[in-house]
Amino acid sequence: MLELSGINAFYGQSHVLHDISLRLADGAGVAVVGLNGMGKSTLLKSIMGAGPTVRGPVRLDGQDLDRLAPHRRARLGLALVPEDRRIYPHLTVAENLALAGHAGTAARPPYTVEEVLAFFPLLRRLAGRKGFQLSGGEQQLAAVARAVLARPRFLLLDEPTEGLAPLIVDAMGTEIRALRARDGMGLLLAEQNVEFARACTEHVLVLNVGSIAFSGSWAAFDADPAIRDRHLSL
Amino acid sequence: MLSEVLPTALNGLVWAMSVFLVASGLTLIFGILHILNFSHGGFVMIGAYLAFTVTNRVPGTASVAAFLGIAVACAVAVGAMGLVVDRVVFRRLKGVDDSYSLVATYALLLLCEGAVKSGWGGNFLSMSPPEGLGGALFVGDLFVPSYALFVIAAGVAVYLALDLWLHRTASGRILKSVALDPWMASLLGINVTAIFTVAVVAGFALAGLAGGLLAPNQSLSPALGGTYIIQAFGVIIVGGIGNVRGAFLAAVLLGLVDAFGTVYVPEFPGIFFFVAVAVIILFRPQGLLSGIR
Ligand SMILES: Nc1ncnc2c1ncn2[C@@H]1O[C@H](COP(=O)(O)OP(=O)(O)OP(=O)(O)O)[C@@H](O)[C@H]1O
Ligand SMILES: [Mg+2]
Repeated sequence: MLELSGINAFYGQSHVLHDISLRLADGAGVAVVGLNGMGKSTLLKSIMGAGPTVRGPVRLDGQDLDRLAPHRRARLGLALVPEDRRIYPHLTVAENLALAGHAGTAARPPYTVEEVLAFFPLLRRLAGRKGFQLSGGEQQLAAVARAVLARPRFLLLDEPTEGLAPLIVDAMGTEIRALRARDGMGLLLAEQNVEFARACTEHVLVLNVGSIAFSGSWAAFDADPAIRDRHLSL
Repeated sequence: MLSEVLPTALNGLVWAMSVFLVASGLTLIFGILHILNFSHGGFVMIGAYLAFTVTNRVPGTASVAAFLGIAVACAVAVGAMGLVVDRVVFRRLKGVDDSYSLVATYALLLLCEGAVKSGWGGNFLSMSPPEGLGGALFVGDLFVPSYALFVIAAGVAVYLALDLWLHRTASGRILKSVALDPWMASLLGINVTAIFTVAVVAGFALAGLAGGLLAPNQSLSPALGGTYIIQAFGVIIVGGIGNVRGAFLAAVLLGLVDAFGTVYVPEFPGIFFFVAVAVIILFRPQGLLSGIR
């Protein structure tokens, strides 16, 4: 169980997230939607302790993560794919994937590079390519695969479909659903693509200027078209 | 004319490898932490003084093997100082303005000089090369001091070892990844602080090694910390700061330019180093190679 109880996040003086509470049960899938600049990325980074200053508890199975550096959180089973991907240009795809093995532990051994390439067939022929030789879409795929290698308990994905061709978006959705089914992996997905988000998660949380404007099931979200009209541009 | 070429080239290479030995640790630390360590020469000097003391105090240390052993011991000792400096100083320099690093590492240099003055006094001291390296060899019909050949070999060996480490080993790959993007590395479960410590200890150990290897034929004085450091800075800037391979190439290039310049235009000894640095920086401000390599 990943639990945020009224957290606030800041970049220097600017107060970006306001009293965010969120519970993500093991294996659950929650989408975080909202317009540009509403705080989706800040929320994911706050959970990793990787950037914003955070006040208020972030707990994993009741353990307060407050004082833990990002690499310690990664080793507890959290994995963030940042919106800018950050594939290492000097390493091959396979080497990029292998780096994530550092987040593995004896209790939760990482997948091998081979296993991950089997999950993402589109990546297989790129395994030997250097990061700088990949297209933007290929980098996105590699970034998601790299996070998966650590066999995370909770995967935090920041707009993984941005800039992907529709066919690749579908393939990625299929992979993510398959991984969740196989591992019982929890998913927190920041997205502007509502259809993709709906296909990958059960719950949805709408952020508006750093506050929660809606939280509930997709059915409840659909039942109130005003939410969609107000908080999402289509 | 030709009879001058070979000895001049050898002089240039001895200079190049001496400076590279000093520059390697400097550029390694910059490449990974982005801290320009002005105290680096001070720690080279401490390595040299340690080598001097051990060689003179411990009997039976006149052999080449003992000389190498002592240099390695100096590397270990100065590397351990690096561990302390990392904890006490470098960790506090993350995320603050570069001017703080300048002041902090300059203060460390003064500390090194003070430590040497109080430990060894301000007089000039000197030590000779070990017995096996005290003589000279004929290379063709050229008479070359064996210690000069040794310094060249040591510089090349240190370069090859560093290059192999950074490019061909898993730990080198991690080091490079942390240098490029520490934030992402931490998200992947890598303990970035520990990797920074490894880099600092390695850089300081290289300073200690350089001190131990270069101590012979040197006048040891508390000013030694500044002796090679200007040249080392020139070499790492021309090489592409943070780039070990670049520093090696730059050392060879600048060593040869300076040696030949001094032979053919003896009116301006030593000026060619500075001229070459200025000209190269004018045309390639990022240095010959860039990024950590
Ligand atoms: N490093 C930073 N320093 C200062 N302010 C920041 C920083 N990063 C983001 N912000 C601000 O915080 C707010 C939330 O940004 P955030 O990146 O979380 O939005 P987002 O919902 O992910 O937007 P997008 O859909 O464009 O990715 C914005 O107002 C942004 O300008
Ligand atoms: Mg964002």
